[in-house]
Amino acid sequence: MTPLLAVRGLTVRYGRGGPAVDRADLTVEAGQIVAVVGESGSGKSTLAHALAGLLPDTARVTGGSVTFGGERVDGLRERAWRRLRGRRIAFVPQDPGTALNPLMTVRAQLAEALRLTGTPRPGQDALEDALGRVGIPDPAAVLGRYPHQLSGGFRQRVLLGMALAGRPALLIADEPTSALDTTVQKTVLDLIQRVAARDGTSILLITHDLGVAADRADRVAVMTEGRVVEEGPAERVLGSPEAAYTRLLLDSVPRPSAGPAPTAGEPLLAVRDLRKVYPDGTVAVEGASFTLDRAGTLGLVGASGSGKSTVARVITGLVEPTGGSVLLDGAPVRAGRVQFVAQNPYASLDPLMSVGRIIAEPLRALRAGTRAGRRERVRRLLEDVGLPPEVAWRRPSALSGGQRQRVAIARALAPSPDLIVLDEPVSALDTVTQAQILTLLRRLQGKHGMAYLLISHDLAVVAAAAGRLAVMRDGRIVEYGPTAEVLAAPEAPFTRELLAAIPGGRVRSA
Amino acid sequence: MRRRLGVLPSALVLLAATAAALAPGLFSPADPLRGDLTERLLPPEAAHLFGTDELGRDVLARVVHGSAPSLQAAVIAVGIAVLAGSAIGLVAGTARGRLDDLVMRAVEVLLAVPSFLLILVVVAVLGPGTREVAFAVGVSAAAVFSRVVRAEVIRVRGSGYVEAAAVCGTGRATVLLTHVLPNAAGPVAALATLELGNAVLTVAAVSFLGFGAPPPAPEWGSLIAAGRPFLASAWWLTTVPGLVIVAVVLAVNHLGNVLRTRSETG
Amino acid sequence: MTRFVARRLAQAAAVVLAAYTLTFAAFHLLPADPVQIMIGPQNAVDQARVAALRAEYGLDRPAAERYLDGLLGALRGDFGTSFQTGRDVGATIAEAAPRTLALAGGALLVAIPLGFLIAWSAAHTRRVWLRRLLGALPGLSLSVPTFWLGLVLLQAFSFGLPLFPARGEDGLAGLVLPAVTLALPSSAFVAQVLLERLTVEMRQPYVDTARAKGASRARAVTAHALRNAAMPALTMTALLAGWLLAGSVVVETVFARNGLGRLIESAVTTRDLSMLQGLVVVSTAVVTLLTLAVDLAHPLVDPRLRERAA
Repeated sequence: MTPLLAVRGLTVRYGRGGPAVDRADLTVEAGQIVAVVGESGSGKSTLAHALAGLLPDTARVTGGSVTFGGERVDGLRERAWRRLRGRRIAFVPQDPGTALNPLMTVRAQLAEALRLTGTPRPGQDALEDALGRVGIPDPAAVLGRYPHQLSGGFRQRVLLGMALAGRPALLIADEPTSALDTTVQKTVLDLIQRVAARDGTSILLITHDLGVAADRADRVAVMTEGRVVEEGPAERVLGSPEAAYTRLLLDSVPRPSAGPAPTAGEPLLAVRDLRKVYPDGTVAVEGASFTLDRAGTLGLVGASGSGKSTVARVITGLVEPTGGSVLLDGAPVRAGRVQFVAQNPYASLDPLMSVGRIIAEPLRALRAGTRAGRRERVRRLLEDVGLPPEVAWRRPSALSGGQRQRVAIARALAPSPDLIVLDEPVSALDTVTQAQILTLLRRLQGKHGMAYLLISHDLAVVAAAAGRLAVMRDGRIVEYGPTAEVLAAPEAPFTRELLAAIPGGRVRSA
Repeated sequence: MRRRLGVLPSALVLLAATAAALAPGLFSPADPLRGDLTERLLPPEAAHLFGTDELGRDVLARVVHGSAPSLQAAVIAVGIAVLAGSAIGLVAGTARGRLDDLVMRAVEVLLAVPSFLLILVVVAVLGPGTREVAFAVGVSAAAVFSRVVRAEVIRVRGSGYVEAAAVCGTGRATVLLTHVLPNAAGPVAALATLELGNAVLTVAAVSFLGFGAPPPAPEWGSLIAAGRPFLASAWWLTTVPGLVIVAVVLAVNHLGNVLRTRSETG
Repeated sequence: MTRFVARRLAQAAAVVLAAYTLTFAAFHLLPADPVQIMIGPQNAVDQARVAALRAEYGLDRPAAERYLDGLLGALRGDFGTSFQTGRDVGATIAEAAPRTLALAGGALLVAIPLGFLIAWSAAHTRRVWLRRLLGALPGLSLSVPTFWLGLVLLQAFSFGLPLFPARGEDGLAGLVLPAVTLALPSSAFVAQVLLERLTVEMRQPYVDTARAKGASRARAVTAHALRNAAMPALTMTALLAGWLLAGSVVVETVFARNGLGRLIESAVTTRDLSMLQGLVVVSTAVVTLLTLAVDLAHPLVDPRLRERAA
């Protein structure tokens, strides 16, 4: 039996550059879910676009073949592609926030999808049915909405509904859930899996998250640097990986196991009844209280919009609280004692400054040491975060995301602070880099003994590093206690939901 | 990469224009003001590469000598726009609040008056002349500049690295000097270059209308105006200075676009 | 919504008032006296004549009184009489306006479709060389001085091929060359702004979504990207209006047509300050009203703004 989709030796290049996809092989059988796993820049997204005939004009297929339903589709002309797209091959692009036309109602966009796939005048029933099939409870109401009036999860459902409107044989989903919160991610992935089982639609799931791939896919293909380095049944790839890169990736998946036991040290940071109301009336934080021990780590977990970033900004002094108190050693926070590492290492380093100047900035601000002394300190800090000394002369643009985050950590370390607030320090990084940075953070804490407030949307990331956990929802702390206890016996229903939604169960049990 | 392609020719055109403004003798030994009446309206030939005008003056000499006042006016105009606009934008973007509102409302009024009309009104008050025109063009462009500078200042101030500097304890003045100004400078330089092209065109238009330097001094715009009566018979009188303006503006705009692309891609 | 409109109306009125105040200040409070400005620095006139002129135009009255009088007049559409011709400023402007409107209208009739066509084609084509060529056109066209473009067209189509009259007011034939002169840079302006937005919009994931549904490239550009790009492009309408007025000054001079442009040119030449003040206030009002109209139209196009305005 011929497979639904057979990719043989596919090579794609942008302009005259090297191959973005390099001799890739991939097979999707009817009714299967196949996951393509890779980090950013691995070529997985280019592969997905190539298979949907949606490569940008600067990209060309320079070798190999793609066979879909027994027909060669590489090198098809635009007109022929249009007969395939929507009806036979559907595609869901990355970010549901921007993948819907912001100026058109759901009704108009869905009707367009139905019209283009063979329903000339879709009636109310057809429209409602298309939304009902992707688990939207009140289709009639959603039809009249504009994209910005829907939550991320609902937008993704609408996108899926449009993609499935033509009953395609293959659905290509490019990182369908990476922009969503963990719990929403789970419901959307459940839905995709249900649809595949119900309609016999094959799914090509593109993801950076090995955990997601492991949970959902029949077969897994691992991509790095444009090449498919390993491909096989999910159990086999996870159970006995052959490629070194797959093993590295497997080892890097964060596991929600309890980290170090909470330190019994004296309290360093005391936050009492913290409240923040923004000028527009949004209540970001409502009565948050917690303490953090000297040299300890508190993990603060919550979905986007839960108020966790506001807590970070209040403690670092970037935002004035509306009420409550933040005390460090019983006194208001003094300059230099609390440092900050922000989520996006691409934005937090001045593009025009050398790395050396960036790291020395807090020292200059505190007027600490001489010029030569500062230079020596920068060298030692670079060594501490595992960067060679010559990086001091480079600009941030010459560094990778992981290297940039190391520089941001070195800067935070420079004035020997008592506390470093880490606001989503690894969420912009790839899995392997993520694991490396988390290891580095642990090592630095052992060496220098500062406390961490580790903020993340990802419970798995936080749990392994933190002695205590606080879970935030809608501006309130709904759960607070030693990590091991929270993981073993969560009290709040939201914490249980979070725990259940962590992908990668099959990775951990493998 | 492709945008880099035209950089060399553009730079050469600008170099030639600047050299013509600083040392016109290098390009044309002929006197731009005195002509030989026996050599009136000669078409381009070996002795007069760009022909002669109705008074027998060498057109090449007049175009070359016209580059000094034409370019000078444009450069002064952009200088005024950059300095005044940056100062206003910087103050508004840094102060925010009431002062920002007030300053930006004033800028809005200036922007609501069609800019060419604003320039002509200033010329009407000050009187014609190269420097007066430069001032007028500068004032009108300053409004646009202050907006861009303010937007840049606000963008940089909201950036992650300024936030990081604040947590480090870096003072406001230091942040302004070490982060905000350098990072705002790139886009402003790109805009200044693009504005220079505009200024050359505007100065030429004002001079074409007769509000530039009084005759017989040559300016590119007034040269074209002077050639109008001979449009049917002596095409070179208007064509040559026009092509020179086009070449200079194209070159400046091209370089401006290269700068802009670079400042956007970082 | 009503409050939003009312606030924007008040802001627009404040801008026009400020423009009036600004010109009043420039003309009457500067050290140079309006009569002196009018006469020019070179011409010496005897003091008695100056005083008579001052009395004639009411310039001997206190500044505050003149300001208020002028303002009340301007509200009724009365901008006083020209210092130079002695004719009513408002009437002169009203008389000149239709000719310039015809010119600008003719130019827009060519410029907007042409600008859209260039931007649309550049976004639609898959041929990289064609896209680059089309993308370079607006910049090229905007580097050409408008007055010179007019002269070149005259040389080619009036003197070279005698297709159109070299000067003249009347009839469509006389309108063609001036309108085309004004239209070419305007279309470049439209194409440039639109193409820049379209390029950004074409990279948005929703365009991929549309094409994944099976929409053709043409449909993805027209029904999706263009719709999103059109709104920011709409914002330039007011700018374009000011630009057309500027263009009309040189175009009307080149083609010897009467209109607002010529009126501006002669008012500057003769330093007719009362006329200039009227022109500034009227054109600022037009630009401000256009800006206001565009602002109010935005929520109609974009549902996200509808909620914010409500």
